[in-house]
Amino acid sequence: MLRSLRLARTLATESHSEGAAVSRGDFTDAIKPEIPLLLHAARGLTSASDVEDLVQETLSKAYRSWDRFDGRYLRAWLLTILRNTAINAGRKKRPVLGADAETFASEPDTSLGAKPDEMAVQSDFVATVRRALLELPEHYRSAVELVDMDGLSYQEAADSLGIPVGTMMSRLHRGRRRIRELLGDQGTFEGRRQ
Amino acid sequence: MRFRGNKGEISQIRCKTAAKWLQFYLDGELSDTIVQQRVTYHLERCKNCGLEAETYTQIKTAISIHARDLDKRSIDRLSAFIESLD
Ligand SMILES: [Zn+2]
Repeated sequence: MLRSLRLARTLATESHSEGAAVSRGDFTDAIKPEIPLLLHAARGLTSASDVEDLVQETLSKAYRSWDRFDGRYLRAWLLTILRNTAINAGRKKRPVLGADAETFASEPDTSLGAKPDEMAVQSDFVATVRRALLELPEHYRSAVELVDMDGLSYQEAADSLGIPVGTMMSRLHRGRRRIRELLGDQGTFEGRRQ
Repeated sequence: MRFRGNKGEISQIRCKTAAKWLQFYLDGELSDTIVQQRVTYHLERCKNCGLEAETYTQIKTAISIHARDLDKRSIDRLSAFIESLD
């Protein structure tokens, strides 16, 4: 990155007389395994299309303050940065279709159907479900995403959205029914076997 | 036929009732085990509702595959980003 930043970092590291086992290599090794956790946590804080940006910003901040990290409770430290970043940016759960649409467009994916239990789910069916999911109104879509993508329980999803559990359930079920309708004949198990 | 209640026999529910409980059932959110048993019983015997359950299960699976796929791409991109910081 910036040479001056690196120099400042070196100086800062040297000024730590003890417990200063912080280095660039340490940062990479320590932080990389935490990316999945950060992505998961970020989904509860911002809209689906903004999740990756939020995590990236968090990683930048973590990098800049790595010298001040005392080496304990890494996850708590990272999650605090994540939350603060989300709050400071005034992020809202709001759909930005462009980013996701781009991801959706990049078909087909060879990693699909890698597991035996998923072989039955044909990739064109998966693609159709993805498109149907994108067409849902945002309040239906976020309910479906929290339960089916993140594996949250009804209560957890309701808490995450800050709505009563009854409201969450009705959005989730209507959202799935909408997807089911958009699938039309392709949605029926028999229809897909023909 | 409904709620005949012989010992060990699960009473029948109608398709409409099964449809009402279906998504709760598939999400593991039916806390009432009696209702759970009735839905299972119905889905095993009613072809239409059984296929409907199959379809919803596959929708759920398709969305979770999509999530893993998105995650994998995000993880790759963010890992590269961390490397670029170095
Ligand atoms: Zn039925």
